Amino acid sequence: MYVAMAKAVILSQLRNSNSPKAILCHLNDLLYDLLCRQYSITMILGILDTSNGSFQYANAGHWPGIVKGSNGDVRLLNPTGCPVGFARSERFDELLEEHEFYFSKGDVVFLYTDGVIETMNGNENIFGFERLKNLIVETQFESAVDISREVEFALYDFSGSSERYDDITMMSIISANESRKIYDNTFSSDLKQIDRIESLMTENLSAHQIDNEDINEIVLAMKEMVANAVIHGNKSDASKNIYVCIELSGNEVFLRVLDQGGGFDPHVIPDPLSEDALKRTHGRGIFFAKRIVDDLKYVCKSDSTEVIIKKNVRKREHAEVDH
Amino acid sequence: MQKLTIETRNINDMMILDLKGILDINSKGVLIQNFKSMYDDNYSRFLLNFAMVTRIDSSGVNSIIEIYDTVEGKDKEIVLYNLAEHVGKILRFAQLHRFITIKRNETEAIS
Repeated sequence: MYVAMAKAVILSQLRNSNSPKAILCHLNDLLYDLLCRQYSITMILGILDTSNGSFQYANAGHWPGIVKGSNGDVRLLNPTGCPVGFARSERFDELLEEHEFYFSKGDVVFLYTDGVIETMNGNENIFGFERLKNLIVETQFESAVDISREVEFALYDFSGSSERYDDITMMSIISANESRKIYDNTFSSDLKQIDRIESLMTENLSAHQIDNEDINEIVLAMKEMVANAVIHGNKSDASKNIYVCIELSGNEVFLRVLDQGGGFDPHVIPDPLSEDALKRTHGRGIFFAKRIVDDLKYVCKSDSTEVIIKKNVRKREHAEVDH
Repeated sequence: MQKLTIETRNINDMMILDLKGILDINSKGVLIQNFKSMYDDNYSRFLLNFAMVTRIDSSGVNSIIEIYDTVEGKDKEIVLYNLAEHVGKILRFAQLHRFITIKRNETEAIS
């Protein structure tokens, strides 16, 4: 019954919010007293935006989701908070974090209930998380259905005729997103790095036939965001790093800049066109970036700030020919 | 290779700076230092030729305002001209034309 209530609340909240964390916090607020700490609900709540391949998620105490990148890298969607009903709102909200990543073509995501992990064999050994992870990592899958089928077979092989004690639900995703990472790098907080990134980014975007003016604008957005990350985010602390990534998906370019600073409130930036600010020699970076891109959002946490930018780009009609 | 190079020339009471390259956070010092070292009270107008500037960022815009600050209130003028499409767009965003003269070409700038 509680799960049905949770589902109804989530569906209702999805009409008003696109933040998994906000929805889970609201859910916990509603259900905490009902669950009376006798029950709790674990879940991963994720929002997949198929238009740009972004997957925004929060994990309320559930077993880690498994992500296998097309390049073989494995990452876990680890718990970023406690189960729903486990703590009062203030504590629950404080513990719960929201994360986001972008799918590249061929990336695999596998989500499952604890019935998978806790499947037992005749010796009362459980299937376990490591065995599941290894299966996902070591198997080549042709389709999302393949993944669930392989896991199902593995569970049957493992448990034999032993009785099942829990239900099993699995969800598999394989990305058909054509997004391609065309630049990514981690470097120390040094503004001089901007010149090198500018040069490489220009070269790579040009090689993908992106219109020159669009390249100029993407590079400008990168410079503004990296400069802010170095100066305001990491406070020019050379021991802190900046991560820059640029992906191309069809006619969209995604730029991500991540620093290790304490974040800020992007809503309190003064208008640089006001009479007071017009002649100031600072405070135009975010303003420029917002003017030239199609979407710009910040994900601020206590120990990092990430800016995610989307820009629709035009392709050059004819490749330039060297004479 | 330097990101921004500057050559200077004079026409009557005008000092002209021909900029070439990218004016940004790592090259703004070149413009400011060049301007300060060439600055002379005998000039009444300072013309910045952007014909060969391919990109500019917010720090580059700030450096133009810093130059403007040094002549403001001294009965002198800063003029920008020959802006490439990208550079012109960024300067329009910043609305520099509200306090700095911007001309299409050198003929208009020196007249």
